[in-house]
Amino acid sequence: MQTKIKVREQKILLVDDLDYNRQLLRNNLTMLFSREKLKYKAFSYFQAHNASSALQTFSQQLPEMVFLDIELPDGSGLELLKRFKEQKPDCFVVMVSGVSTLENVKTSIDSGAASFIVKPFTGDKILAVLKQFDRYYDKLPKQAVEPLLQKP
Amino acid sequence: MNLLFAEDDALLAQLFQLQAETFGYQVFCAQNGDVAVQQALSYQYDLILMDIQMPVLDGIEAVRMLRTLGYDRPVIAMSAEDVTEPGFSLVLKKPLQWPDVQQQLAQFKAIPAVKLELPAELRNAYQAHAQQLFHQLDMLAEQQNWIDFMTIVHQLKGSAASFDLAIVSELAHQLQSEWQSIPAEQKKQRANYFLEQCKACKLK
Repeated sequence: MQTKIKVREQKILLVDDLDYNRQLLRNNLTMLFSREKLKYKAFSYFQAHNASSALQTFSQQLPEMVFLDIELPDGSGLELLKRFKEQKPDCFVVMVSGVSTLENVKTSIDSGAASFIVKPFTGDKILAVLKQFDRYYDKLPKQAVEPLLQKP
Repeated sequence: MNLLFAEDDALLAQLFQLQAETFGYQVFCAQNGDVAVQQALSYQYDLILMDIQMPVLDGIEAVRMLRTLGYDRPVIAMSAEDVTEPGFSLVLKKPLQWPDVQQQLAQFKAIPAVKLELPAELRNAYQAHAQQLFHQLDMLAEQQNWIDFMTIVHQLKGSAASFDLAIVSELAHQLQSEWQSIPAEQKKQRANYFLEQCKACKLK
């Protein structure tokens, strides 16, 4: 007999100082998660508008995915990335920036970022990241994914 | 179908562009691997053609960086040597012979664009916010406070296009790339010109 698997709500943290960008991301993530054939569909969102609130929210929620703006009013997203990965090494972090420099891209990769989006956001960029997220969780060791899959 | 052609030989890039555009491809060029990575992360090209030996960042390093960051669109290597790097979808032998190139390119298709969902309420709220930013920019230009001025320009560049103001993003990008080379005594004039162009954009 096949056991039905229920996917636990995944936590997504959106870090951007501009409220409109966070709203736009949230709307489009919701739309794409429900429309596209993705394995992980259930989610809950948390938001932060600066580095200090991002760090606090991250520590409390330990999200599976983070969209992290590099240019924050009170600090750099690159520094936050290191702190996030120390706390939760398998967290899928998408760096977001208005401009990409070779140095920023290299630092992001070296610090464990999974992806990098140069703003403005487009549907293609967001969808590409979600597909990557699906593949990423498929490759993780079973014990890392199991907490996400709860038997009813 | 759009292509990014990453090649440091400007003449070769020009020749490729002419030939490819004749066959209906829209071609963008990058003069080294660094620019190619930046472009690939900024725009979703249907296909990238990447030279291997390039200054600043070579084609192998560039494709490795892109693949590490989950870039899953096709990237073709162009080289006179054998290329074993697994990040490439295909290898084209140099010198490029157009009929062969055309045949190989025909394997790849344009990838349909995914439309960004933008509720009218959010779009209108952002556009009202943009109007406020223009007003702030007016004051900052008057004060010649260029640090704060360019911080707002940077914000507009990164966000306006997502809220139906692609022209504003493009104007901001243009201003940012020119800014350092504009002599101090001409900055105010250029800033005012930028603002006039932004305000002329018809907000929906």
